[in-house]
Amino acid sequence: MTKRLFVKGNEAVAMAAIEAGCRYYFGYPITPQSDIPEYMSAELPRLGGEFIQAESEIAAVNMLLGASATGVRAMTSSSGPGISLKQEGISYMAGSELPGVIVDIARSGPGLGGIDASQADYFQAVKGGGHGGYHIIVLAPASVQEMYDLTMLAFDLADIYRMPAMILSDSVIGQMKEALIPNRRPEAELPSKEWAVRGKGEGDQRIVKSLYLGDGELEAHNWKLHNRYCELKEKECRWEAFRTEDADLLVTAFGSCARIAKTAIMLAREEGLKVGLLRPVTLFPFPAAAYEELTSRCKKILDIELNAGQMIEDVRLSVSPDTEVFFYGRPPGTGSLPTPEELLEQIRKHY
Amino acid sequence: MIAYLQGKHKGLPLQGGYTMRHDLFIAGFGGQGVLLAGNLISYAAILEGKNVSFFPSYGVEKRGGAAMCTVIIAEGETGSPVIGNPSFAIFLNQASLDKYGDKVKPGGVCIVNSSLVSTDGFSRDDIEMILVPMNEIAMQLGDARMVNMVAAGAYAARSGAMALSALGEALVEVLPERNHKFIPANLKAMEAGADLARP
Repeated sequence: MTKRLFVKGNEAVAMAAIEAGCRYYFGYPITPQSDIPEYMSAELPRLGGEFIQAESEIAAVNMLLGASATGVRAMTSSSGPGISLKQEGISYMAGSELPGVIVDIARSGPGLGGIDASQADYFQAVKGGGHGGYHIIVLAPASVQEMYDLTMLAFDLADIYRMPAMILSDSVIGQMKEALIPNRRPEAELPSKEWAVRGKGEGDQRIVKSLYLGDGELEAHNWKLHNRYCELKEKECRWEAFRTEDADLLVTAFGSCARIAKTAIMLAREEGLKVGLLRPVTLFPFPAAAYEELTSRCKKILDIELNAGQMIEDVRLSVSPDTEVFFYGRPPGTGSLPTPEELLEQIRKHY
Repeated sequence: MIAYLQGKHKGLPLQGGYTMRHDLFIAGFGGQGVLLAGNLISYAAILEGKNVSFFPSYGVEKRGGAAMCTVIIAEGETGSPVIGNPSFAIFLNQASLDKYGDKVKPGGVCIVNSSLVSTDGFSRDDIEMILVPMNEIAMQLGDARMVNMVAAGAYAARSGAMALSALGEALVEVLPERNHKFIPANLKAMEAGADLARP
């Protein structure tokens, strides 16, 4: 067995990016994700890559766009306020069909807010945070190992579907340390990047752009993107089902909240309550079919989030008819992280 | 479509269910080595093949301010990295006992740094209090900064979550090479803590 390392979630993201072949990182420091640029700044130069601390988040995301247009694997990372600034660039990348990985170690908001764990950027991440009606792939790790494995997956999915992919996490998963098996980059069949620009030289001209002015051109482009989102929903949904087989109440939560909920479920099981967990790993595409299937038998689902209710909208759209959907959440901020004991009370209440 | 991590994920197998699960809360002030103690205990458990979640309190931290961390050790999944009512707590200063002493789970264990913490006003008969004069022990062994090592040794001995020798091995991994010359003194500090806390 490979020696298990003991690392922070943020470090696992950076290590996985390097293992996935990412050699270009652009970013601007912000708590609670600065471990990622710190790690990249130490490692990338000696690997022949490039680390740039940009003058702003807007500059960094546009550097990501530029690097990606040349066909290389590249990444940026930030948190709430910085991710908001990056939305323009993400929209341009989505429009230009450019892959690239954006890591959001979310902090509490709105505005400058605070540095505590938050899931209040769910809408921003999964509904297309910028203009123009696009989506990006959104993955929600719940452990340090998943921070690592899903970062590698994000690079592959981004390349295959030619769109940005986001790791959506928070300071609980980013700052905690767990054992990590630094897996090798998995085998994946990747399309060649025959669209990548490569400078003036031999061959046809290639253009990377998001501007389509011709009659019918932009509509056709948008239908193409839409079809790709449909393909993602069909093929790339990922979720964890834990003790759901005999459950009379399903709990659903993602990321850090799912970890806290899992212990609450174990405590409930000790009391004889049949409770299970449905944890979406991909937030876009949302694993709607898993919700539909599990709620065709278990008619009660309790959605728990570190916000006042966002994912619950997707849950409501996905469950089978006549399912009762309950909600428990707390808006983020210092001291708002729920404990397993607190969630156990909610489980008892809705069981 | 790519094959790996596809579709429904299974959680880790739950060997022994919820039974082998240790949770520990450590609190003190910045500079007492709360986070190093948590790191060391975590690493020792990993060396013994267990799963660990180490979660530091994450806020606007400074020397002299409050410092806390939670460590979960399990054979299977570690579950929540935070815990409302810990079954084990280490309190290195008065403020932490005053603030968190009431949260310890009934039947739980408190390891208290009696050099700095008075338990006079603290009346709970449903938890076990282990008083260890950590500052005095550390100073007798040569350096007051080894308070956290005394605490870690006391925890390992009382909880049985790991062997004392694993803590020693972890020290080699956690400390940078330049500090390895301090390891023998730190091992003594751990042993002294363990001697006072063994059940």
